[in-house]
Amino acid sequence: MSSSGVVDAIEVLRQHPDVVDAVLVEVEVDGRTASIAAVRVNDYCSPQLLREHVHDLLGGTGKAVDGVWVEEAPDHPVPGGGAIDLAAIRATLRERADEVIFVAPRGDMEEQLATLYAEVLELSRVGATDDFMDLGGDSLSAARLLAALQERWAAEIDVFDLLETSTVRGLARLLRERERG
Amino acid sequence: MITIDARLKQLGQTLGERPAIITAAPDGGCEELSWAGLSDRVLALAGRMRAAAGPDTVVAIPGYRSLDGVCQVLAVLCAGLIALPYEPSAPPAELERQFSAVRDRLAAPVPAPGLLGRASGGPAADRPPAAGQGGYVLLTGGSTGVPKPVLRAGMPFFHPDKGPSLLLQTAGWRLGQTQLVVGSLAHAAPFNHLLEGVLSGNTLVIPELFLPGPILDLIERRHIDWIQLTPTHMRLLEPALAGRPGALRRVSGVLHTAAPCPAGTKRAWIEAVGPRRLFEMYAATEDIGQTLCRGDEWLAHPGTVGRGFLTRIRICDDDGRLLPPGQVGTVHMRGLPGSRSGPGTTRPGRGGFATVGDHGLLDEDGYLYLSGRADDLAIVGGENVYTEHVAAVIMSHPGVADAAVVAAPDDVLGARLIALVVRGRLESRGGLESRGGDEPLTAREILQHCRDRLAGHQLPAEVRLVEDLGRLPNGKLPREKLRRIVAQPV
Repeated sequence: MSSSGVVDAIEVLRQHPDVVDAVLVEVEVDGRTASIAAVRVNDYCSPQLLREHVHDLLGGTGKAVDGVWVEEAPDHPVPGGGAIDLAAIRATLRERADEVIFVAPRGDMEEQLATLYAEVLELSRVGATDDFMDLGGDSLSAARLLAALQERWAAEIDVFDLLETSTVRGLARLLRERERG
Repeated sequence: MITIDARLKQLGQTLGERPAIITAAPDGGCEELSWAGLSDRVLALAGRMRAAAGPDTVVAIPGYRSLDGVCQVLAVLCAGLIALPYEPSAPPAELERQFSAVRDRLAAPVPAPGLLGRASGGPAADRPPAAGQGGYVLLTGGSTGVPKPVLRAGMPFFHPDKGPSLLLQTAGWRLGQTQLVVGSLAHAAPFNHLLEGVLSGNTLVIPELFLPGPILDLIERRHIDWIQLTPTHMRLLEPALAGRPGALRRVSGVLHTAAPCPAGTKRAWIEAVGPRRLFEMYAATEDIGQTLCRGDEWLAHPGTVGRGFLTRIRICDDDGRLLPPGQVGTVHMRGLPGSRSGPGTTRPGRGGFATVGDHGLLDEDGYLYLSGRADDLAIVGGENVYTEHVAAVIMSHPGVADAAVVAAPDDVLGARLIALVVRGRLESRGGLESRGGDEPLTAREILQHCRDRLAGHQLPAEVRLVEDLGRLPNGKLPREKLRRIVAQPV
């Protein structure tokens, strides 16, 4: 990954109307370095959708950033908000980076499910560990997803299953369990 | 996506003479309107309304339980105007309070009679409204007791791929079913289900009054498939149901809203309808999320309002920290977007979660139990009453020095209001000329004062005269202490 690509990603994020500030953080995830943009937002924003926004705007040229981390709202906001606390974010990301990083789907079932997710959510791609809600799922996309699961896998997945599993990987696991009976 | 005006036209053509709306008078007499008739009447009226009012006009429209009443409400929606349905039996002072909240937060509501007058015989607009126009406003109590308008912007629509909401589909709703509509058409649940029923091409059966015997007759005679009720309706129907165990055998779904429902009543209904056909839902008018609970789940988790339906739930303490299962805190919900929200919506905070201030706990299986509503909210007969507002009305009487209103449990209504009133010194009552002399103010006079200013469900069931409310130094009421006082017989 080129460093100029990462700078572009930060610029793209800073131009997003809901983003107040964005800085780059590098963390070790599963033995490799991942670049994550830590952002401060005006209002609630989905980190996964911000990540996909960057991905789409940079023409899908690859991993301009591996993930976007949205700073938690402070308990007692101070005027101006102060600087983004990189040390705190680094500490949190060591535990939780996998929640926001794009994880490529593995195997046939995950790939098919990721394609289906992307189709109903009208996104260009979906990671294996992205949460349906975080991806902007609404009741219409949920209805479409459940109907397609029934049609293609003859699977009786209900809305409670969908929200409990919620990711492509989780749903693939559930479908395999149901297949085995 | 088909907006309501186009959908009505479509249903008028495809369903033709099938009944759309049936209203039933207490004497058993019925009036009926076919889909072709409904479509013609509503769309003609909508065209004239649209010519008589600017786009996005808020129209205050009475929710009369008659063919005309329903047609007028639908016409406002089909005209691309913003409908503000109100309860026609509410006293003027309460309506003024509601309208003034809409005026402050949204726009001044235009009374329907004036608009209907201008529209009658006038020309029709030459173009249909755009989909983004119009919508409707419902009022919710909010945490302050001041009515809070919640706008659903944009004309209601039907999604042919999806059909009615997933929650309704799960709760036994089928397209084209025969549906019973009870409850005030100005309230969120009856209004939304009326609207979904029209969009679904259902036959809507609307009794003018809620009388238990005739309602059960209607359910049997009209082969009702689906019903939405409040726990108060369930309690009122329970005795009649006991004598006619088969009355609900044909019904495919009964959905009731969450307000404290006596366990005995809940069990009687699960028995009468069947454990897989009785559903309970919990949601706020603000639309931050919802739960659904089927009868068999309730039997396994008695007292629950169910699991989040396309909604994640968290229980937090006052500092926003996450609480483990079994601990009571504030209920935060994160529902799916898709609710078209406007001014007055509760904005999501951390991680997309929002709260309306209700309290409760989650069990290990993720079932939600409500332990009480935001401090001063009581639910009387399925209707939200803010005790602070009732107390404020009592305190507006010049002879009253202080007042508190406390909700006590009630078998039929869920809660009843008890007013504790401290009388002022007589000198301060100079304005009361109708009462000669120095006789002290009576409980009866206080009640009369309330009757002139409040709707029926907001009225105290009892007024007790007390010496002191024991307010805390910060002016707050010792609520727990007052609840204990109220629990004791006089």
